Amino acid sequence: MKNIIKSGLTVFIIATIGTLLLAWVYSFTSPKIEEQKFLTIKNAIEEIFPNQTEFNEIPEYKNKVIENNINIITIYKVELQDGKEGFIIRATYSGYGGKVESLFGYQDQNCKGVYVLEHSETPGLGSLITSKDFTNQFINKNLKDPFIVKEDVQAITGATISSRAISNAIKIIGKFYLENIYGGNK
Amino acid sequence: MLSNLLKIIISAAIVDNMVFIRYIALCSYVGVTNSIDASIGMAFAVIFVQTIATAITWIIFHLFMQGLEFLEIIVFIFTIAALVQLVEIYLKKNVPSLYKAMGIYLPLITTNCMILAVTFINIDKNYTFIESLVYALGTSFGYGLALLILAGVRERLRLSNIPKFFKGYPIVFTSMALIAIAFLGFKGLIK
Amino acid sequence: MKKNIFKEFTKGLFKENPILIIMLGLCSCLAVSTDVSNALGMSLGFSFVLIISELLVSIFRKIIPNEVRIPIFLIFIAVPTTIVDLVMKAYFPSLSKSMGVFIPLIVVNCIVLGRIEAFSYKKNFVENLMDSLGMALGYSWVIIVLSIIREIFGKGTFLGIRVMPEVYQPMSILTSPPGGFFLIAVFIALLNGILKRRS
Repeated sequence: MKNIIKSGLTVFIIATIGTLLLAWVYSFTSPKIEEQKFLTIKNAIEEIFPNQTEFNEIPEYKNKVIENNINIITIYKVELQDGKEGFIIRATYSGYGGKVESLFGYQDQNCKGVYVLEHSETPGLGSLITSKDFTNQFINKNLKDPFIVKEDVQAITGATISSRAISNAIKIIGKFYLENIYGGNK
Repeated sequence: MLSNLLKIIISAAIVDNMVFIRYIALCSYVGVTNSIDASIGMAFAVIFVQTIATAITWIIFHLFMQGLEFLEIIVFIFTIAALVQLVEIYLKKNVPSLYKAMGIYLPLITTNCMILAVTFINIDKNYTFIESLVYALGTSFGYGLALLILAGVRERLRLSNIPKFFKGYPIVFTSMALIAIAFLGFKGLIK
Repeated sequence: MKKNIFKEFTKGLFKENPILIIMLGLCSCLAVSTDVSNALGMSLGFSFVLIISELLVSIFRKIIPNEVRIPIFLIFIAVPTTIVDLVMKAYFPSLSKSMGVFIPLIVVNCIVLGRIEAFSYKKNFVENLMDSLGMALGYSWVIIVLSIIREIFGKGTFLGIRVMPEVYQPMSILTSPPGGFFLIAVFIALLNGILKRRS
């Protein structure tokens, strides 16, 4: 009996010390972690709108499924230096190897660019959807365009499905943007 | 809803097979596949513990750990270790036939990284309770499948003529590489 | 005596290499060795956890009751692992993201618990220091060498910078699971061959 109490007490003391230590580490790393999350988004938005001055979340569009497999996580309204405004839509959609998470930039009736945050496409093929060579073709592309791979969209060699997934997502989310956000704010 | 669950289970079991695609649970995997019997016992033990562990950790995390997320690792590993102990004691006392079939594999499970990995992934992907359970089932089925495939291959390897330096583990890993190529073929199955 | 301590250090490098000979810790080894940067991050994280937990056990082994030693070991491993996880998330977010679940999984890395149970609980501080340094280095060199091969030939880059000429077509199979399994098979075969020939 005495042994059990002693053993239990030892575990308890060590666990308490461990927890306190972790709480201390957490207290100074957690603000940093939040800051890093914010910075990732901020850098990505700057990649699409280099002249941004401020961006804010539009709360009413959080976690909205707009079409099979395309899921809007959130939408940011971006103020630009020239007084105009653009929109960033953060969404997930199905690629070849699983879910892809990207930021899509829209302004007026154009796509302003894509930034892939997370993906699990085939290394060396589908993973090239993150490369500038591929994503630059979407900058300033009119949303009325057909967005069909191998016609008006250059596909990545050997990764047609990944390329199609991303251009489809731009088109469908773009449609959503034109109908709900662009018209509504004008 | 149902199609979503089906998607989770297939991608967890085959497309994203824990062993061959995500490199999880390799240590115990290589050890156990020595014999088909051991593989079957291990497979059932994992399916059993994985499902219970997922349910319990999900509940603990979502009910009691708001703001205490940094304790995730320590709480989960303790939950699993305690759970394995309890299951062992319970089976030994009440279901001796089941204990006989998978009892000796239970202690090995605490350090099977798949159990812990799946509970983390469930939290990370923000799965609902049902989705978590389905994901856990899928991954452990996939693990069982992987166990049986390699155990079968190794049974055959025993009779074959293997280059001297490749005897033992190297040939096992070479076989795993070839099986993994087959599993890569499932990529793109889930739309 | 001095020679013995030195041996505790060197055994982890080849003779009792945790990955290639004892066959433990394979999951993280294969998963993070697709990039040199991931491999470096993992080696540091893993070494930190292994060294701290081995030393903690050696310091407290006299007062740890035998019956509850496993839960205490788990605390000694889980606390440094969480610290590594939090610090990586806070200061190296992209590294932490690409390694994903494998950082928290250090806690069930069989090498750590295996060393503690088989070695640390019975040996003193200096021997533990040497052993943990050796094992950490033995783990690190394998995954770093593996990652250099996989990144240079599989992606044509080194630490993310292109080093192979433009005409070189990367063998992307090397960065995928089959390539990883095959490479580790070749590694083990080579080391086995060398050790056998020596003795």
